[in-house]
Amino acid sequence: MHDIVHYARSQNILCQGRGSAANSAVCYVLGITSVDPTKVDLLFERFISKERLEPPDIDVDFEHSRREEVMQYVYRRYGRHRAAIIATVIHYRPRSAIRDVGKALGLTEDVTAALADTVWGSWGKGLNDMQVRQAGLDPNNPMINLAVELATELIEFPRHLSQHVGGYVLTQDRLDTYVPIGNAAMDDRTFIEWDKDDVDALHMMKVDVLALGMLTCIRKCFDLIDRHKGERFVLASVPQDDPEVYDMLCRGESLGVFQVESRAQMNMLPRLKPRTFYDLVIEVAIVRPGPIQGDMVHPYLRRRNGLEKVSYPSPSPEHGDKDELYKVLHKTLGVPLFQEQAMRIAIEAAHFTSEEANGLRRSMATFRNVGTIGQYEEKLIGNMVARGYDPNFAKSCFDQIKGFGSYGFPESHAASFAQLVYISSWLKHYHPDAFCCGLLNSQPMGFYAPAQIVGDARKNGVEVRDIDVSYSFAQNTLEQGSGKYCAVRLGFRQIDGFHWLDEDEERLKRGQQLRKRSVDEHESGAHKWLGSLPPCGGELERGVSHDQRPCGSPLSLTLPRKGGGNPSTSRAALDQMCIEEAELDWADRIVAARNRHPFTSLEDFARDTGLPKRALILLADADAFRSLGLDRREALWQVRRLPDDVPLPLFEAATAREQPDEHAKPLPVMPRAEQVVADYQTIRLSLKGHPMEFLREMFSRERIVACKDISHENERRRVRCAGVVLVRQRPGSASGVVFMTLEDETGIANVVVWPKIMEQYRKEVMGARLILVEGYIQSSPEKVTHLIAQRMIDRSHDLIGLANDALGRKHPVPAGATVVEPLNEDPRALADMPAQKIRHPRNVRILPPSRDFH
Amino acid sequence: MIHALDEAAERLGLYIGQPLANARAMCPDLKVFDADVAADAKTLSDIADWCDRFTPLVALDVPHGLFLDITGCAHLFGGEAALLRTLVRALDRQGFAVSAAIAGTSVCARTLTRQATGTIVADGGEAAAIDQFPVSALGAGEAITTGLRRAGLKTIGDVASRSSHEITARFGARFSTLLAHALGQGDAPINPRKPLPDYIVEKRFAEPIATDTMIAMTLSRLADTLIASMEKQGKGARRLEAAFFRTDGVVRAITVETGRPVTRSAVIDRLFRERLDALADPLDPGFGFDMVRLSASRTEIVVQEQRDLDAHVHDNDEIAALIDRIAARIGGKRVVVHLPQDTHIPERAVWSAPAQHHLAAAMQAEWPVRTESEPPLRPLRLFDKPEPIKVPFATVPDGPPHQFTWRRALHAVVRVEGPERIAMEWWQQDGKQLTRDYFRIEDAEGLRFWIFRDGLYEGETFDGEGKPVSPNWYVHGLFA
Amino acid sequence: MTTPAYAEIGITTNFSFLRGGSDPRAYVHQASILGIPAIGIADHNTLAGVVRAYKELDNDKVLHKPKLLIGARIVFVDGTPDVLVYPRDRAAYGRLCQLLTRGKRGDDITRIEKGECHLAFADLLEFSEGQLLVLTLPHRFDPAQALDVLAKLKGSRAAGVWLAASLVYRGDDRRRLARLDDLATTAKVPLLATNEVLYHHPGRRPLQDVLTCIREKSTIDAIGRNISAARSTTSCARR
Repeated sequence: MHDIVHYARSQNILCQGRGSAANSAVCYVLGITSVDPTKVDLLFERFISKERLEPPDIDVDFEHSRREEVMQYVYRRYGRHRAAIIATVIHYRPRSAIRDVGKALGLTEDVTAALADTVWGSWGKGLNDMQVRQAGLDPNNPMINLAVELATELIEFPRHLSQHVGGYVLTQDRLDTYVPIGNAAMDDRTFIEWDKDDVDALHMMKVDVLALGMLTCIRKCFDLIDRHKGERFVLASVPQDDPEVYDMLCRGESLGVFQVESRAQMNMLPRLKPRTFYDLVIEVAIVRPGPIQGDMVHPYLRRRNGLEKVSYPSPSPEHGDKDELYKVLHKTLGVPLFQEQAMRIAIEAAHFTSEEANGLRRSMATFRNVGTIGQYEEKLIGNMVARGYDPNFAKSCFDQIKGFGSYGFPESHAASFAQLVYISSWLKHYHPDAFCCGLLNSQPMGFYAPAQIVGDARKNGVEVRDIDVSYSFAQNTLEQGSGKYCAVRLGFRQIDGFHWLDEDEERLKRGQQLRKRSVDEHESGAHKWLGSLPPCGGELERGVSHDQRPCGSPLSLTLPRKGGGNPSTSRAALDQMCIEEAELDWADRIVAARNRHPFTSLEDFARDTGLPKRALILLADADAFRSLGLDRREALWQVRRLPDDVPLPLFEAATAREQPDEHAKPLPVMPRAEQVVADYQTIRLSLKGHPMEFLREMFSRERIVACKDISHENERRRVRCAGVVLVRQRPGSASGVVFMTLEDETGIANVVVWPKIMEQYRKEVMGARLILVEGYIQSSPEKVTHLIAQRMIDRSHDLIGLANDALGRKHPVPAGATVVEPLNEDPRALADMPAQKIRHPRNVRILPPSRDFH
Repeated sequence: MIHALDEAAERLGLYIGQPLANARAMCPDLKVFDADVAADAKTLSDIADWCDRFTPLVALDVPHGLFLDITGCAHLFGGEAALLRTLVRALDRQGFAVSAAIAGTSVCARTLTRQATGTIVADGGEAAAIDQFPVSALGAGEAITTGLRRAGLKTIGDVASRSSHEITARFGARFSTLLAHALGQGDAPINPRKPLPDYIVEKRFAEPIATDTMIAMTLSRLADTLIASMEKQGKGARRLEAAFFRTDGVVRAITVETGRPVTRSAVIDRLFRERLDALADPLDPGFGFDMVRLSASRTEIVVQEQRDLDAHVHDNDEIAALIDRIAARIGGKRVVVHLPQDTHIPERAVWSAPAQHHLAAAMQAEWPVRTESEPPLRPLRLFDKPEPIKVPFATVPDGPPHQFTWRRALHAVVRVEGPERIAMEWWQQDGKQLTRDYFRIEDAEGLRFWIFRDGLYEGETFDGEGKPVSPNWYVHGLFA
Repeated sequence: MTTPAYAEIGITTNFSFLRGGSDPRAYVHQASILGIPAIGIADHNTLAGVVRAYKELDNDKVLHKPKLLIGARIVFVDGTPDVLVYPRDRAAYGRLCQLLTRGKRGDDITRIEKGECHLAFADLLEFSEGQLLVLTLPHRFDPAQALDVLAKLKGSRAAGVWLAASLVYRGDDRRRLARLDDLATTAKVPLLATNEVLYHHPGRRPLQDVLTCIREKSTIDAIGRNISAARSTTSCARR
């Protein structure tokens, strides 16, 4: 493991161990983790356990975008005969099961699709009558019934093997004498036939090479700081225990921070008030289904804030040490929060053997359908009660263990994550410019959209500049700023549909090509063939000067000569590939062209970059030609006039012809509101304003307050507040409560929708992009403020009306972020489900359609 | 994904293209029907049929529109306004929401329907009529519409005010043409759904007709006229269509095809009479027909007939004729041919089909080939219903009986082969069927039977109280 | 119930994707319920399901633990009838893994696509040392080819060769068994009774049929005729 980590370090790939093994003294010394084990006082049992008699699992997270490099290294280093990825058994899920069974039974596509559509994801176990009915089908229809019945039977059937995301088995002697090895769909990957559980059961050595997007983001931040501020950081060199960083977290300012940026975490931070690293460990672990299901969160908070006496449940005196649980629970004030603690309780309080405790853990986590959980429940609660524990405490312990089964979060794991929480918070606090830039360049990642990330950075004093063909690169970059921080220049990657090549992917591809070539040469025994290659065409010639180009300089290509084969055929193929790739990287062509000389006009730009018209339209629509004196509307009008793409040989001739002047009257000026809306439509954010500010006047007349006024100072006041819906969330742990996050030009507001209100305003909650909420303000003692919804009105049409009702169906703001939990499982919805009246929709269809205008 | 929605759903804020799950999350009690594009197209086509009454030149403007070329027809309906009113009202009564408009060009008319239903635009008034409409009314597609709006050209008038080469350079010639047509400059020809029949004659009635005699008489007259006009050009009809337009909008079209071109009105007369008599659902005049149209949609130049010299070609004809004659006497259902079926269920392996309809299929049917040197596994003929036999004792779990009683006679089994296990088609709806084990049995007298045990031991057969009972035995056929 | 002295060899689990109708663990439980002393899993060119079966022996609910034979059914691309391969020892098991690895990875010249396995009869002979081999024949077979295969298997370094005899319930089982017997006598190999089990309980037949349809990308109505008779451990256990 050290070897793999060492390799990653040598390649400037960030990594960090996770889990018990990783957070051990040994791993700290070896540099696998940067979490100091003396600080967190970890349990060691799970790393080296007597009863497991097996090598420890070491899981290491690598940068998401560069993990593949590490994986290829593992193959190279240990050989394919000793290393292979483990398999993941792809099981039938409700959706795939019903689709396949339906097809086999000859149900039509639409019936099958309707049935499949009723499954909201893959967490359902089967289809129930209500789901069938919701699909507009009759659950009493024998054929449908049969399909559902058989599909239910088929769920959990293995369908095929796939490779695990990053788990390797390593063996000392030939791996292929343990288990068959097969090719993966990806080139250069081989994997075995057994999955994680199989490998565990057989005690084989397993190494998890995992991927974490946040590590990529952190590395990008470090690189930016290095380049623009001249300071080089690594994970271990970030200053520890900085009080300002904790101050920021205590204020709940954690947008973009690893793990603690969700709404629930943001609310928790001011209540938990983290001041030390261990507090972060708890913070990471506490907002999890396990502790929530076990109702451990509130007792912990009460105790922490001194509202409740810290006590430790103990057995009857005749049953032993009354402090037996103190040892287990004192770090968390007597409330079990971590998986290890739950296991220890089973051992100490319920007198499980370590083996039983492990069996208990496994019966939850793996092989779930066998149903051995019941016997453990009986035993755990029985033993604890017999030893004099409060039955309620025993029950809640078991509930918590059950929660851990599916969402286990061991302390050691939390510690690894807490380290990244701290580092990303530190970056956010001291380098908000680089942090914003790094986050944007690592998208998609985390909870928030670019608009919120940018908004947060601007709030923290970072200047953000528009995309511009004269200054932007593919990635978001830093520029000399006027204030304390650098300015962030938005990159072409923010434009939906724009083509650019990712550095990390290119590096990997280059490495693979090089290796393949050297292998080929080695095998064919041919000497290097250095030809004086003609340039691959105009595009490539330009590329020579640019060292990021994947093809590099054509003159340095070494090509194999296979047998008596003609090298020119493979060269032609390679050339073709180079050209295709070069064509793809629009961003690179812009940068290369402006390095030759600055752009003077749009026609000049089009000629120099040779970009396809589609690219030009995207740039114009993203308002990226301002430096050429063209706003979005003028640029688009000019771009559209350029000739359509013509094949290369004709290209020069076509562009050489100057277009006649039109002497046309100027276009109407684009109002700012429309500019803002168009920004949102093209790059999902606007630096020019917020759509809501154009509605403010109207809203003020309606006595609608701004989001920033939803503060604890207005406690209990009844208000009306409107905002764009950012997130809707129904945590499984919150018994049907829906949390909504609204945004306007002043900030965000958190809305709580109780189930009863939800029932009444479901349509608004789920459908509105802009919503008006009437309710009262309520805040917790820690000043976490919510707006409790009582009435809601969908005001989306105001948003659409903003741009003179002429913006088409594409909404000015994207639909509120994903619903995290299913919202249609409410059994109450079943009661008033009307009987199915099959009336063909054509009877009520509007003919011809007139839906364009409303 | 939502494919179409009604006004109520639209008011709820649902929209086309919305994922169904989202829509359901908004309204869990949403009524959802599968989109049936074929049925929609059929409905549109039915409406087009009905519109045939106004003009034979009806074109589909899929998915939801129709073009009617009413050039020279409007006066028959009391002018354009009256025609439009009649059409909209009638469709409205039939439960359709209609927007309709009349203009000098089809594109302009379509544009009007999207914004101002009921409008009639005089020639030359097109540009003024649509001036204030949003550009999307042109239906030029999302990309162009957005492009125009981004340029600040929000109404058709805005676009029209720019020079046409400005527009063409940016949005293409096709769009310019569309715009020009909408503005009444030139027109795209519509594509009538049906080619105009070669010959067409029709009769309208002030008072709707309903009686058979009147219908027959009308048809006769129309046939005379039709034949007369065809005769002039030496044509005969191969395909004739009589269309009956009911006052309430239903159109019934009856088609007759002939093997040889028809040149005599008497023949047309007879063909239609037979056809009308034989209709499974007879012509229902309702409140009467207000128009009858007879057309010859396929015609041929009449040539002198040559008798084919190769008699074999007509063999089938003769068999068919024989079948027809027998069927006429004893009923069509009683003359059958056998067709093989793709199933392993013995009693369903052969299908007796009416010979009149399945003669050709029977001639070409492929029967399973017997493997050489293997005895036949099934009897040639099966009993209509398997007959129960009494089996006092058989080898468990899947052995044959040693003796059995059938039709009161006791048969001692001397030779056995089997079992052949035939599992029933569990997915069929007709009740739970049991697995059968078939045996080929020879008794002491050399009679050979095909018997089976209906159900496996312990597990498939139960008595009324759910206790397992021994399965029953049947004989299903005899070997020759 | 008295324990019949019968080992269920050649079981297909649902790790023979879309072929087997039951989970490996279900077979272990069923064997326990029926008191079958030994079961032999043999999935199509794979060992993917065996660990699950092996693990399940630890489940307390498996009262009567059957002996678990680990093996694979080798399905060839060259038209050779399937051969069940059960390694006799650890070394032979390693060879079986290597054989399957070859089928799945290919050699230096051809790369095998994910999920496929290309094995020729010669490959099996190469890795046959220490293996117990059972030749299974389809409903109709060519005796000459079968004899040839058996002779080559006997000539290999295999630890034992058998000819599988199973009932196919097509009405001619007696004749077929007689032929198999002839074949075995001529080739001097013993017959081995198997059921070529596809699912653990008769109730699984509809699912099995559906799997066949999914595999063949057909519908149950279209495929009806091709679905053969039921086989399961229940019926075999009492024979």
